[in-house]
Amino acid sequence: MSKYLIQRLLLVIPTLFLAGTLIFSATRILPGDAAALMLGANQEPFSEENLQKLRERLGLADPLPVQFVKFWGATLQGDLGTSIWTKKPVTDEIQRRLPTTLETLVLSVALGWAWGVLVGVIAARKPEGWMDQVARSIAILGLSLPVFWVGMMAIVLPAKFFGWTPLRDYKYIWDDPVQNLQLLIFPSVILAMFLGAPVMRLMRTTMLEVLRQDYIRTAYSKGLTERVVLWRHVFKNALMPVITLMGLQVVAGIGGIVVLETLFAIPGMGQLLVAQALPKRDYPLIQGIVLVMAVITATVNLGVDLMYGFLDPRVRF
Amino acid sequence: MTNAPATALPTDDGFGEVKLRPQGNPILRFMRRKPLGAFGATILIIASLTAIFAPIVAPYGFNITSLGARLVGPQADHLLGTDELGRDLLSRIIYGAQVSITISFGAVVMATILSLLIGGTTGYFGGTYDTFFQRFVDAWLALPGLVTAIILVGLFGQSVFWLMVVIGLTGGVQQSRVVRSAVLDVKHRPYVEAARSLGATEARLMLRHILPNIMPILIVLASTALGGYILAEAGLSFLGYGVPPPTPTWGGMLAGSATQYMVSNPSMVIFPGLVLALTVYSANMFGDALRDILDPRLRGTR
Repeated sequence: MSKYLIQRLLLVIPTLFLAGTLIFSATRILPGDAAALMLGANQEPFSEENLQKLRERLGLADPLPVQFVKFWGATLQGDLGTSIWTKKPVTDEIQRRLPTTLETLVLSVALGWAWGVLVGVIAARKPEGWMDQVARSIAILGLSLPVFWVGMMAIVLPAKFFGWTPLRDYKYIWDDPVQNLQLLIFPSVILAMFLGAPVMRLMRTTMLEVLRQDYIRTAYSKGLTERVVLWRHVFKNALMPVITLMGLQVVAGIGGIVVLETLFAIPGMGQLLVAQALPKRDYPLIQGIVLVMAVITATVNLGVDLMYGFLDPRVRF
Repeated sequence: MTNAPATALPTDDGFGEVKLRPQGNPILRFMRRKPLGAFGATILIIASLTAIFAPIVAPYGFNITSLGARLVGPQADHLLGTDELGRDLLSRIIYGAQVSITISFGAVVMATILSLLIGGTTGYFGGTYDTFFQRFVDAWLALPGLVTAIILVGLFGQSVFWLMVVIGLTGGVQQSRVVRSAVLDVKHRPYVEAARSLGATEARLMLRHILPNIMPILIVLASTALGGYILAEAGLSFLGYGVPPPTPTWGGMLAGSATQYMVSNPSMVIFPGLVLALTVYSANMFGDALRDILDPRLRGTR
C-alpha cells in the first residue's frame, strides 16, 4: 500500500510541472503583448523606447529561458507574481475569488451526483421500462442543453413573466450566507443538470452489471426484501466505478463555471480569467488562475485514486 | 423437409432459420431498432443541408438590416423576429448552421486522426515512449478544456479552420486514452501474433490487423463526441472567442448585445438556443444509438 501511495503521489509532480510549463509557453506565445496594450491605455506617446522600458519593468524583456526559471522558482515558493495591471499579488486576487468558485463547484458536483445516482438507480430497477426510457432521455437532454443558454433562460423567463430578476450584488458566504446561496444556486443547479447526466448513465450500467451477479440471487433467495438487496448489496458495489468520473467532472465543471460566472456576474476565478486576465493579456494572472485550476483537478484525481483503494477492500496496491 | 428447396441457402444448416448475417437494408434496420437515433440522424442531415443551401433557404441575407423592424418579435415578414440592427433572426440562424456544422464535423475528423496518432502509437509501441507521452496527456487533461481552447484560439486566430483544429485537439487528446486502451487490448490477440510470426511488418500489423479491429470504437468515439464539439464551438463564440462577427454563429447570436436585449426581446435568445440545443440533442441521440449497436460494452459511459 505505502509503495503505491508514494508512486501515486510522485506522479502528481510531473503532471503539474508539465501543466505549468504548457501554460507558461502558451501565454508567452499569445499574440498581443501587455506592454503594448498598456501604453495604448495610458495614452502615453507610443515609442519603441517607452515600450522597451515598460517591458523591462514588467519582466517581459528577459530571454524566455530566464523568465521560465524565474516563473518556476517563484511559483515553488508560493509566489505567483503580481498582476501586470492591478499591481496586486496574483495570490491575493485568487484568494479573494477561489472560495466562490470552489463553493459553486462543490455545490454543483454534489447536486449532480445526487440526481445522477438516484435516477440511475431508479432507471436500473426495470431496464427498458418507461421510467428507464424517461430517465435516459433526461440524461441525454442534460448533456445536450448548452449551460450558458439555460442560464440566459433562467434570467429571461422569470423577468418576462414575473418581473423578477436575479440579485446582482454579490455577498460572500461568511458575510451573508442566505444571499450568497440565492446567487450561487442558479449556476450550481444549471451545472448540476449537465454534470449529473454521465453519473446517471454510468450508475445505471454498473447497477445492471451487479444485478446479474450470483451473490444478488443468493441475497434474494435468502428472503431479503428488494429494498435491502438494492441498497445494501447492489448500490454500494455499483457506485465504485462511478467514483472515477469525479476527476472528469471537476474539469468539465470548471469549464461550465467559467461561462456561468461571466453570465451571472459572479466574482469568481472564471470571471476573473475571462473578463480581466485574458483580454488584458495579464500573463501572471492567467498563469496563476490556470495553475490553480490544474492543482484542483490533480488533487481530485489523486483523492479519487486513493479513495478507491480505501473503499474497495479487493483493491490491493 | 419434404419440400426442401433444391438450392439451400448457405445460412440454412437444417436447424431452421439461422442468420449468419443480419438481413435487409442496414439503414432500415437501424431505423427500426433505434427510432430516436434515426430521428437524430435525420435532424443532423437536415441541419447539414440547411447549411449547404443557406443562401437559397434563408428569406434574407444574414447581414441585411431593416431599420423599420428592429427588435421585433415573430411576425409575418420576420418569422422569428429581428435583432437590434433589424437583421432577420431566422436567416441568421440558417446561416449560423454553416459555421456550427463545418467546425464540429471538422473537429471530429481532427480528433479522430489525433487520437489515432497519440493513442495508437503509444498503445502499440508502449515502453518509455508511452510512459513519457502519457505524462503530457495527464498534464493536458488536468487543464480545463475550455480554458485551453480559449488560449489556443487566441494564439492561432479566430477563424473557422483554427477553431476546428483547436476543438479537435482538445477532444483528440481526451479520446487518445480510449484508443490507447483499445490498441492494448487488441495487440496481443492471437491473430496479431499469427500475422507477426508470418513476418508482417509493423506498418502492416498496425494498418491491416489492428486498425480494422478498433474501427467500431473509433466510430463510436467520433459520433458521441460530435454533440460536445457543437457545444464547445457555441461556448467559445459565446465568450467572444469564436468566429468573429458579422459572420452569424449560434453561440455568437447569444453573446454580446443579445444579453442586453434578451429581456425586452426574448426571441433573440430563445430561438438560436433552441436550434442549438435541438442539434446537439440529435447528435447525442444518434451517437448513443450507434454506440448501442456497435459497442454495447461502452453503453452508459461518455
